[in-house]
Amino acid sequence: MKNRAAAETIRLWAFLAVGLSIFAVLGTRLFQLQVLQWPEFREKSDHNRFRLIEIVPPRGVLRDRAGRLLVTNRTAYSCYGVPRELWRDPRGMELLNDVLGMPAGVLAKDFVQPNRRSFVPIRLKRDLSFAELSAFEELRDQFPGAFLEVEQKRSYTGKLAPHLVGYVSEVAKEELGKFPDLVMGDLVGKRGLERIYDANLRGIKGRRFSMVNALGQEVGQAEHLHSIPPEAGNELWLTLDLNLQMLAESLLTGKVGAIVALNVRTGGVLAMASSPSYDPEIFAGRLDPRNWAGLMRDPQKPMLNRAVQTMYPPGSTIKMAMLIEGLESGAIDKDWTVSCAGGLQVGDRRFKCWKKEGHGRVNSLRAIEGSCDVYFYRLGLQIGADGVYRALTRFHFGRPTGVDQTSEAAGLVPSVEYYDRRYGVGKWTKGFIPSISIGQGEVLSTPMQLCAYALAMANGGIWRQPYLVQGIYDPRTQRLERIPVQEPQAISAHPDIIELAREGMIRVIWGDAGTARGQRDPDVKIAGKTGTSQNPHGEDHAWFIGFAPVDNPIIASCVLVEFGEGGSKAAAPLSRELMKRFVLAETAGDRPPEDVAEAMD
Amino acid sequence: MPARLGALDYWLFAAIMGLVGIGLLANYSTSVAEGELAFSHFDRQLLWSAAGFVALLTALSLPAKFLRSLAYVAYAVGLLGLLAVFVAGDVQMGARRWITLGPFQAQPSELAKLTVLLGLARFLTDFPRDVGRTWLTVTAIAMALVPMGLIAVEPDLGTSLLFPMLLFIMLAWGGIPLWHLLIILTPVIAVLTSWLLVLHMAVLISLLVIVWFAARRILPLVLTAALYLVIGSATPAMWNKLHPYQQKRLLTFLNPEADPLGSAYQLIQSKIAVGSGGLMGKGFMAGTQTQLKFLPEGHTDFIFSAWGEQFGFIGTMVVTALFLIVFWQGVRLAARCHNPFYSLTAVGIVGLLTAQAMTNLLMTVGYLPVTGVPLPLISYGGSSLIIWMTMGGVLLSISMRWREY
Repeated sequence: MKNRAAAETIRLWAFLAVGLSIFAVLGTRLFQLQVLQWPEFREKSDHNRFRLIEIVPPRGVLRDRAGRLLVTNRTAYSCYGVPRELWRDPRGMELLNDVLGMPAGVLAKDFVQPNRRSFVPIRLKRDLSFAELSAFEELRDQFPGAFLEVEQKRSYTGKLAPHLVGYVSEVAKEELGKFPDLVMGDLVGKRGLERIYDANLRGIKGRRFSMVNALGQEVGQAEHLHSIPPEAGNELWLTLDLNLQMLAESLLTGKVGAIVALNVRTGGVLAMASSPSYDPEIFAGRLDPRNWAGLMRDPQKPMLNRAVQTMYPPGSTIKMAMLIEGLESGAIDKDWTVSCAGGLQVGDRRFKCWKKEGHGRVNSLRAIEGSCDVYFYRLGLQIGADGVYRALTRFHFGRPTGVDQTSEAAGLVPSVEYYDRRYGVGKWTKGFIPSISIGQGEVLSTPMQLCAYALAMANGGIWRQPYLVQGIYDPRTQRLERIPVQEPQAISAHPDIIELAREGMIRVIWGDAGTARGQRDPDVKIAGKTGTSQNPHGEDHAWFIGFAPVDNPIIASCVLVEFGEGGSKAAAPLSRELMKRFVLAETAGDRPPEDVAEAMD
Repeated sequence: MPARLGALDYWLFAAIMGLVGIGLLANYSTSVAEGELAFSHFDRQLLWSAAGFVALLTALSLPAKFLRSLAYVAYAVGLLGLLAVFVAGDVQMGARRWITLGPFQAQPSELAKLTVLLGLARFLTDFPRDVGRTWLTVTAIAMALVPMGLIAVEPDLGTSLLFPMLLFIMLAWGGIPLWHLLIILTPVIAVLTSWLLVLHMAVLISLLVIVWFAARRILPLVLTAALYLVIGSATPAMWNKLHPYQQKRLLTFLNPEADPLGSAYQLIQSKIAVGSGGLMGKGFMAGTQTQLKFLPEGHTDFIFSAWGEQFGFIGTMVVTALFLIVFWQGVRLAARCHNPFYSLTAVGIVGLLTAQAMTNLLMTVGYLPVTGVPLPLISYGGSSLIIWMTMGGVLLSISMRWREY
């Protein structure tokens, strides 16, 4: 027993001894660092302080299909300040407030006071104007806590294509979790290509060490510590044609609407314009809240990309799809004729043809040529709501095309289930069918969807996914990474049937009764289809879809003019002009040598 | 005998609460440095210290015997928590250490510290006649190695290394033979000496001599030699299996100047922060190293550096003294406990607290590699704070009941 007590005493003292010696080691070390070596460490802390500064790489540029620059960067100056230092000197802060053109007291109240104990510089204002810069330089002795920092800013060629490019702005606080390498104040893509390809465009941050004095102000480079240069963002090589885009935008000037043009051979988007437009520069630097509010309040919604984000009834443009379903299902044959006397009575309702005096006897080709509504009312009643649904979904209506744009609308193709859901099983009648048979009523489509449909008609029944970015180019490795697109899909219909419907589109321009016979052009032979989208809120919207040249199409296009009334008057001339200029440029020598991406392969 | 509040060890209580208070001050200063405005990490730490205080009072009022009856269940729950990390853990910064419970994220490895401690204390006192038998020691080793392994693969190497330390402390206190302790230490010694063959062999021979005189049997001798040689020769291969960042940390520790931008950045900045604090410190919230964000991880692993910069040698001595009070009072409490479970639990708590604190503190002054172990009761982190305050409560509870048998 005594033995055991002795052993326990030894154990206790052994534990205490080991513990105490470790504490002694720590205490001695702290005495050494904090008392004996204090002068040395104070010196390091005071004079040899270096700060890690992140270098934001230049964002990747955007090029058109010929390598021409669409979006690039330019240098801008931002003003930073050390809050703790600014806070000490109210007079200097007031002066800086005026130099930066802020409303009185904003600098102190919103920027400095909340961080007044902080040595860490914060950005006070982005993208200083020339006047602000000169005033700053002149008075900089008055506010030693502030300094300028060079930053990159987006710059747009001719303010083109803001809708599809999108814009960048400062990352939102809630988004920071998604982007681990970003800090407050960094820029990210918010819409369009800038957003979709943000990770490719952003590049990799570099870092450098700068010497800072006791106030946290930069006093020079820390030469002995090597910096890591940033890696520039990758370039986006688009399918867009800068000249055609410019033309499309100018054709829409003063109108509300959209133009889409696709490369028939690839599905690449050659032009995509939406009007009214806005100046993308206002997002490039600091965003003036007044500009933003103005854009948001504008009743014409200039921020909206009408080419992919808005849906309209496609009107008569769908008549080829209807005809193809009628023939493919065997409900009619190509010699099936209908007599049009200007309207059709279904139950207690009369559906009018757009041509009051009627078309007389029309067969399939003449129905497309003259866009006879009665023919398609009858055809619709023959094939039923299911038939109309099949006719449209065959051409990928009712779902997004998958073009690389944000918030693409899906459109709507009403199915039997849709009507059952909406009105109840058995509570709706065939009375809906005539309307949707001519693309009115519930049927909705985006200009992009209609253009993809025009493309499939142009090449005899191959549907291609529209896309804007053909590849991502890494300027360091000089390698191009192709962006995969969906495989082309053959439209499920007999080639002869598609050919017949396509013949109808040629007759729209070249037939005696063609609704767009005014658009004949001897230089470039085009084909197409007009359409009118009934608008309960005002004048009807005008559609035209088409392709050119007829023999070997290279371009398909879709034009929408809101409140344009008839497609033949308002939309078809724009489409003709667009396609003609493109075809002439492509066939004459002044086309861009090749697609840049093709040249790379 | 009912516990009386008068018997409470007020030194211990004051030291624990003092450390929590210092933690809040340090967190406040670093939270300002990081420019957080609404609901900063200081606010959260404040909330958690309130929760931790409730946990402390609860543990304090529970009879420690109650803990003994729950010890194995607790051990199992701790293991389940670690397994849950694998199934439903959240990955942050490349490691899977957290599980989400409603709005909170919990770190089961913190809970495991308490539960493994209780499990070991119960097990080592359940078989008083078998103390010193090999099976008991081997089972105890397994009880510590399983959670250690689970935590090591998260990966959280720093925390996992605390478990062998805890095991060693409890076995040493539990009165097992010297040669058992030597065998447990063998892998560590083998790893540390494996880089130089001559040293490796010399140490092996002296180790075998000591084991022979302690055990006077052939089997322990063979076991020691085998363990030593296998671990020693496997070390180079294990080294290659470490994550590059772990290798870098160890190399950096050996030669900090080699990589002043990478891993050594923390070490250098930490030493500058502590050293430039001087005798009196730069003053509360006036630490330029911390406020200018030179010091990385200023509110977690390197919070002591932020503290040392602001309050100088006097401030660091206060922290050291508070840890010393807990250690001193705790070990003496363990020695006078009548109940062996109480005694072992108490020594486990103060032993682990001191081991973890020293692992962190000696790291911030450049004496140990950067292992990413937080400073108990002070570093930011809800799971850690609440578990350590609970353990403090258990210790205080034992201080009121040391006469019970």
